[in-house]
Amino acid sequence: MLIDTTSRAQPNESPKALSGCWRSALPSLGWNLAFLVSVTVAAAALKRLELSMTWKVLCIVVPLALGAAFVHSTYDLVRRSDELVRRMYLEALSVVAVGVWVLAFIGPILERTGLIERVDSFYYLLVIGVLFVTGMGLSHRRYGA
Amino acid sequence: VKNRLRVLRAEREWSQADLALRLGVSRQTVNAIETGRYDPSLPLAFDLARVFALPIEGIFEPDRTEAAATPDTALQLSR
Repeated sequence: MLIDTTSRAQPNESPKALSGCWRSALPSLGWNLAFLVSVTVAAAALKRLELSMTWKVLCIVVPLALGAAFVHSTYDLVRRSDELVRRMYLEALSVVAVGVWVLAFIGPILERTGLIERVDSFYYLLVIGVLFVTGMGLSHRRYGA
Repeated sequence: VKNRLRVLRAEREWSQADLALRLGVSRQTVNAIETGRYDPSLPLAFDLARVFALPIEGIFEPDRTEAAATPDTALQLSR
């Protein structure tokens, strides 16, 4: 039995699909940057200023909104990507997932050895970033892209 | 899987970007397929066949090692 696959969602719904990994990832990176800046500003404001409840709510709502935009943008990026780019993201994210899994177990041991005072979210963020870049680098090298 | 993408593209004087535009994929995907670093999905292989107006086997052919793994060959080897 033949199944018609011609009606599948085409990856080339917009010219974005035709660009490479980095260029098409710019909106997502931009939203991520805005999210991180908003979190930093909100955390600093909450720590150093006497804010009214309205401002406190804004300190939560604004980063959340920017975070939601980041998630949406990233989802859109992956959905629009062609199959090779999507595979490269998948491979990079696999490296991230396994790396964070390993860190989750190694972290407490590192703490006990005294090499690292405390494995907090900063280390996880650092490791996620480094592993993602490493994974994308490996994929780029493998596929010559 | 080997392919004749580079030759077919050159015959039509298309750049990688031209072919990528016709297929709706990125140029790096075309490059990766051409250099044999990436085997396309079946839908993309059909798209390639459509773009070049050729059957899929006119564009792709299995590697020797993969050809050796076909059931007929395995049967011959077992005899």
